[in-house]
Amino acid sequence: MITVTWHALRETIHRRMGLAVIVLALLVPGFLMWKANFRHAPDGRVMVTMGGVELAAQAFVQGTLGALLGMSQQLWTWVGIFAAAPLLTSYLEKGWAEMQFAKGLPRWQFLMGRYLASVLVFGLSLFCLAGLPALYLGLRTGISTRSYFGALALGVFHFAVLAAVMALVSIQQAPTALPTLTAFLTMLLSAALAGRKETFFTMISSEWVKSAFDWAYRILPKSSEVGRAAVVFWQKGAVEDWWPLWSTALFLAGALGLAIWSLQRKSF
Amino acid sequence: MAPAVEAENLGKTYKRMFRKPAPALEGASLRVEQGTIFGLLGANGAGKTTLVKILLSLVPPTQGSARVLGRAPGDSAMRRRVGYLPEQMRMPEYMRAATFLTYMGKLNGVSPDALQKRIPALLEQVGLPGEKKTIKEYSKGMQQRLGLAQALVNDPDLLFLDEPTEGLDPVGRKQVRDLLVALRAAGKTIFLNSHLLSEIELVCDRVLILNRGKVAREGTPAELTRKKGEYRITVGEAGAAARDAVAVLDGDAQWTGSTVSFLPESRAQLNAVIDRLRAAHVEIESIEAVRTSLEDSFIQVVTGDEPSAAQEAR
Repeated sequence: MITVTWHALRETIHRRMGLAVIVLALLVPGFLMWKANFRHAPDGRVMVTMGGVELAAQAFVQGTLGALLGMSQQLWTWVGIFAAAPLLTSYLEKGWAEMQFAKGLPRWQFLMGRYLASVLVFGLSLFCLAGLPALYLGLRTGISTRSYFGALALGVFHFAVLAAVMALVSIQQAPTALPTLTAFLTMLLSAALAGRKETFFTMISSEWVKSAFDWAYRILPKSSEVGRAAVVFWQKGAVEDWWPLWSTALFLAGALGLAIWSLQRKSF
Repeated sequence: MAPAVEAENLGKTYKRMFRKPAPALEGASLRVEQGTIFGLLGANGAGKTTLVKILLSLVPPTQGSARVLGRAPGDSAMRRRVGYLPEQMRMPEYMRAATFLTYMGKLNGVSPDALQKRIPALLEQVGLPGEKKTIKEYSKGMQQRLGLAQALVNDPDLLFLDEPTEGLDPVGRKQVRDLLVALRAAGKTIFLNSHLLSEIELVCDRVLILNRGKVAREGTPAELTRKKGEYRITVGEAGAAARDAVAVLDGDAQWTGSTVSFLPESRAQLNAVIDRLRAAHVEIESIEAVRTSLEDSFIQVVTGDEPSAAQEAR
């Protein structure tokens, strides 16, 4: 499996997508190091100046890392989906799949190796995008950013769920379009279902349909709640509600299990 | 010795949405002995690739059973002892030959040390020595050679080759043929799937012809290229003496240059012609019993134009 993961990582660099994502992510800490100036005020507080605006370190760190966390949960996850999709589909291309699957490695290891590589690429890019700035700001201001890494880990977990959905769909349809679209839809549907009581339920009177929505919410991954849990974890250093996390983890395990089962049965 | 491949009543029917199921293979049984080259022939869509893919567990059969190297096709340990060159190949274009072969070798559990020693020799063997270009820059023939190298990277006991000479020039084809013969001499078993009938005829120990998913004929190339009953005599000079000597055939003889072809009624008539030629002091260069080529056999099977029992007996 390690062989497959390593090969997939090389592939993402050669296909430029993974490389582009990491280089793009590195621009953020680079910009921060270039533009942010730190000084000690007479009262001993650390002050940060950036773009002509001076802020107390606490406010600057909160604002910057908060914005990066928000970005990681939306825009960066989308970028990650685009970067990961080729990794989760290219090994199933006609002519290449037969050659690999005729070798001694069991098929499930190909899937898991590729899946692991896609999560690693996203995790690495997220570390460059938000982890490095958190480390840098922590070092320069003395403000602890430890819990922020827990929040980023939840971001990686959220991406891992979407990657599992892509891995499952790619077995049915190898080109990248459908897996990518399904991952986006999962994110959007999850957010819509989280707010179902305020939206859908005001338009629907049937209890049966409401119950169907409830079950869909319970089964599908909970993107919005995982995002909220990440923010709470950063601020409080703890998870307040485990239900969205473990139910999403269950969905992840189910999607991967189904993907392995489908791949095992698929004809090439 | 246990056979390298044994299949009993193998079948595959592809289910299709809103359409009738499509049978690709129906009740194919075969046995491939170790250390031999086994040729698989068939028209397009005859089920050759499906049969190979079932044996490699790339496609699950809908009926029958198979054993490859004494194990079930899905067995990972068995697949480590097998090499496969598919007809349609797609390789990562950014890779170089050595990195590609290293990856393929590792998938088969070959140690990095063994690969380091094996890969240069393998590239030499397939005619790509010291190749440094990326696969993207390879010609079709070079890709085919690399495909063959990846099939051999684990030093397999059994090789499945689907059109191994596709895209190769005549010299390349000869090299591949020589390689196959050398592999057989080393005790390897080769399952060869090719459209090039002359190639099959030259190297295979046994041949199986598939027609519309069913086994149509199986045998050695000699068995499949039986005698037609026709003879060809080449003489030193096709002068009047020679023509007079074969006139006994009542116009059934056909001259092409200094060679006469005819279908004698009996062995006695053949000998009588030879006697008359010798009596007329015609120098005989060669006498040859004409056989059907494998191509003739194949076309007869595919078009359903099988010879009658009477023709066979002659």
